[in-house]
Amino acid sequence: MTAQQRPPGSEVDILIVEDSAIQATLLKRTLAQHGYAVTVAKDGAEGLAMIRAQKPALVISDIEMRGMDGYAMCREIKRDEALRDIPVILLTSLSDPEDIVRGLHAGADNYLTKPYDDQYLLSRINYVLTNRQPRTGDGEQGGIALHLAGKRHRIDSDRQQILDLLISTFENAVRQNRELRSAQLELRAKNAELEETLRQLHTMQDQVIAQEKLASLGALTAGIAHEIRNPLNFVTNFAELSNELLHELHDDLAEQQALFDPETFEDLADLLASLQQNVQKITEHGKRADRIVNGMLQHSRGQAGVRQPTDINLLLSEDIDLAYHGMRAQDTSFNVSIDTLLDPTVGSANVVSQDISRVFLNILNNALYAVHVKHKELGEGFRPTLSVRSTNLGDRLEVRIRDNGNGIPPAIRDKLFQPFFTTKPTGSGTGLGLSISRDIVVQEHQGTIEIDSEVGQYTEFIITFPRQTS
Amino acid sequence: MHILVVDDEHDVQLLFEQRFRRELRAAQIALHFAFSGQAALDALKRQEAEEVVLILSDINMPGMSGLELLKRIKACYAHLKVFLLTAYSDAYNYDTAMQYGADDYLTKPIDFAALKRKIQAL
Repeated sequence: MTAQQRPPGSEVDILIVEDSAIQATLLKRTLAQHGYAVTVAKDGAEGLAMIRAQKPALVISDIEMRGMDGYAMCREIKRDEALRDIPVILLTSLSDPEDIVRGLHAGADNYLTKPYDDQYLLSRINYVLTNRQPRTGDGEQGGIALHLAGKRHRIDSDRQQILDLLISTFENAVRQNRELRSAQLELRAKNAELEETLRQLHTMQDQVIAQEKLASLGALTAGIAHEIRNPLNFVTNFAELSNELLHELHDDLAEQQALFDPETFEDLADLLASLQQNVQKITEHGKRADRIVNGMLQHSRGQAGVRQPTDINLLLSEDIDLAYHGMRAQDTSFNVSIDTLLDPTVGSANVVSQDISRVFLNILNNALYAVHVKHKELGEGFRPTLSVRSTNLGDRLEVRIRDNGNGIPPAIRDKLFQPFFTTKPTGSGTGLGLSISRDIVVQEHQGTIEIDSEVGQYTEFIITFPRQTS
Repeated sequence: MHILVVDDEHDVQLLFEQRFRRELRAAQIALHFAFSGQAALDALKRQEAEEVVLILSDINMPGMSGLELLKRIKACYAHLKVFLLTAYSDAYNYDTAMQYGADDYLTKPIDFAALKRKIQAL
């Protein structure tokens, strides 16, 4: 505390009457820091005795105390000719308007509501000390009668006391009102903050649920794929066997040709050829289904994959097919022309094929989604087009996937690779596709992934990665 | 050569009998079938298939798995060769099979030409 903050007439004696030792100590410390000489009494009776003995300049008293309470002590002070000019500040919570009446009856000079801050306490003490006037002792002529909360009160206090008490009450009310208002503003801000947090939590929850669904779908897919694989193996195996048997039958028949008349033989040979053809088709389609099942298994596998030399053009073609048919399965009315220009010298790269395939599929699906959205907006006048290019860059290779959709506004371009960022409606995207893709390309394969886009015109993803990665 | 095929899929019998029909016809091999791990152990214990030298077992079967069967066979009949056949080509199954002393590990769909070569090489 600096010297300037000391009140005029320091070394003023103040008596604190307070039954809580902690409260008393805190108050005493504050007052002492501001140059007051402070003594403490622990109840009304002791307070009164000390007041009589040392005649302090000011009494600050709690109201609720064991034995003689604050009102009673105050009344005793004001009844005593020798003491009545000592101002008394009562500490109260002012929870009831009747407190004012009780204070008036007790002859208190001022109220201080708890909790109070130091500055307010000091200004109040200052007020009381500078406005100290001798009590005349004679009340208003005939007193004032008033009704409060259904009770009739008669106030005999003098004007100065009423005025002081009412001013302090009003001051309190103003101060509390101000505090309430700022608390309200703070609450409103906090509430807005909470609502925003809640909204974010809801979004995150949706995303977590979507991820969970995706994960369980992955597990389910793996399970189904395995279950389908066994019967599928039988289909291809028996078809292959039937093919062999038909060959044998064909050979046997050829040996026994002499036993048949030519027409019957030709019929039998025709039937046999058709059967062979059909069986071949069963084998072929069985193997195709097996490749799809294999693809499903690879996609649903969570563990880190193994790098193997992979024909990138072949992988791209398969993914284009998969993405295209996937889209057609969702909306048969929508079509898109896919312009594929694959550099035949691209050859193979040492990559985790299912991961790179996931990247291609992600970007292809996004591209198809983009042209689909634009098609819905513009109708038949718009020709949805996808173009896929692969280029041999020597020890690296490049893949460009371009769509003529609505493009990506520059403002959100930086956010595209952030996990959970999505422009798709809730439920349509997890916001994880591109963030996973970037991890796969950049971290797993030491490659690069870049975006070129013009709003309303096109979006192009440019992926490059080395043929050999460590 | 007597071979015991263990698989919970009954159609495996039809498939193997057709795939090996030339060898069966020429009496180069004889095929026995068991449709569970326990049935395979029972057959070996009853010595129904006392001339069996090779067991071809699926891994993923209800009840006793192919891995468990492999472990028991190697414990009681150390001279028998065991090839495991599986649709699950994951590291756990492979490592466990090798640890239990499998003589070979083939993934489904089975390449019968390769299987025949391996059998002839025994």
